[in-house]
Amino acid sequence: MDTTQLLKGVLDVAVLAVVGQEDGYGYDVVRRLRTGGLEEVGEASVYGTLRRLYASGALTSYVVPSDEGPHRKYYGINAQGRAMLEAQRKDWRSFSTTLSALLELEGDPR
Amino acid sequence: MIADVLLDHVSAYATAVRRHLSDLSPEQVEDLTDGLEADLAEALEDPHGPVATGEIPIGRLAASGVAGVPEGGEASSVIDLSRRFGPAAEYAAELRAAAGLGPARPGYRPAVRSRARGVITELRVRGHELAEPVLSTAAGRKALDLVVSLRPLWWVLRGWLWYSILLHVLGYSFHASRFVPRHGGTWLLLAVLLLVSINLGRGMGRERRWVRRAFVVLNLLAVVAAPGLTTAFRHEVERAVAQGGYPVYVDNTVYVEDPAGDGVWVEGQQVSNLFVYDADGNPLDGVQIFDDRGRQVRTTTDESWDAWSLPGVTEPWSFAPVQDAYGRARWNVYPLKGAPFDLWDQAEDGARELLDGPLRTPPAPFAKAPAVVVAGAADAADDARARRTDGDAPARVDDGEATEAPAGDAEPDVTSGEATVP
Repeated sequence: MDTTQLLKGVLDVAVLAVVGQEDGYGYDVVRRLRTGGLEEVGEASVYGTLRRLYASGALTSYVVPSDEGPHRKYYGINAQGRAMLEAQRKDWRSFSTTLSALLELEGDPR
Repeated sequence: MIADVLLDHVSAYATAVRRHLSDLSPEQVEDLTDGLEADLAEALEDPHGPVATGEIPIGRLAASGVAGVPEGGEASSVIDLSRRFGPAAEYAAELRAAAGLGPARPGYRPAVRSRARGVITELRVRGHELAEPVLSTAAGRKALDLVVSLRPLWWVLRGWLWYSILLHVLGYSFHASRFVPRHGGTWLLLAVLLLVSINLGRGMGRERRWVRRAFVVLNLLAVVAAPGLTTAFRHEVERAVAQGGYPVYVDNTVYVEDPAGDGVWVEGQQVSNLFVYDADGNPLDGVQIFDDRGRQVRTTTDESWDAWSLPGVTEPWSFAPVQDAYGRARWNVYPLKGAPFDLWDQAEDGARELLDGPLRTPPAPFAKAPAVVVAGAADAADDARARRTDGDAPARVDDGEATEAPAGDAEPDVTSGEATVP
């Protein structure tokens, strides 16, 4: 099964959840997603998602200059983002419960 | 060193990604790719980064040590970012898709500026690839370290170059202070520009995009102007050393008194000729005049070259000397004889030469002067007459025709001769 297709649908909520725990910059978010088990998450996809969530008003952002090398753009969650995260968390729970039940039915030889 | 090379590759890759987004507005591109370099660099250095696409993370390489270096050997050879992140076009597509922006318009060609940036990026990467074999050797690394440690020198030089460029632009192209400040204002300007250059060199303000852009332009300006300005400065210094300081031009009125030269002056006017009359008022010719020290009294010293204007004569005249018994030219025998200036030319030996006509005596002021009564003059005249009859040498004129023509005898002749001159 192509999990990258599945990922696309849930990347928003995953990113919101990670940033919701703690502010993070692009690759930091990628690393935390991968540590959390989403090994195959695409970096560009995460960065694009962060930008889109920021543009939609769910995230705040700030730039932190680096002593050596390029500056980092950090993202943090705001109230609107938390509301969005909560709503999507509910959606995911109900969806995963439904799908789990469905899959169990089909997988049951009986 | 790896970090520097890495960052150049990273920014090259980020530039390539931006190029593929250039159909978006600059704000959108900025929004999508701000901080991209930092993320890419960190991804490369992450020892736990993915290896799924066959790339080798730099961090893992470093952690595993030399023995663990896979085929390719040199660390630099694995810095092919498209092997790690995929082609920039795909990366950009993924980025914009995740950001909710549609795919690039088909047939879209990147703007000229963007393409130019792509070429520059390409050149930079190629340059690194060429330099890497050299820089990865021990000697190359030492040389690079030396160059890096000399950077502050460039910052100072750059500040000075900016100063000089600015003064040239402001129109001080010929002013000495275009190279070295000469007063408070220019010193202050130089100090400010040095501070700006040094602080920019230390990385201040680099997080602002406009600062980075201005920095590139100003750097280029300094590099381009450096050869010309340093050469001009060297010439200026050489000139200053040769002259023992900067040339200073001051308008100073200096009054110079003409040294008293030869000549006879009457009422502030130089005299060209002298006319001598005896006690009875008769004109004399061939009279030699000496001063009390026996020096010849000369009215002219021009050796016949000058043109003298004579009273009552329209054309100017030049005068000629008289020859003495030994063939020497004598200029103190009066009245001087001469001829109109136009009749003279330069002879073979460089001297003046009368081309045509005889030498003439210029017009006398009067044919006869008033007689004077000199005390004891009668006695003296008697004495002279007595001496002459005794066979003594004549008292007054001792050479030439004058000897044969004593004053008294010459009287009528001279007078008539003078009358004919004009």
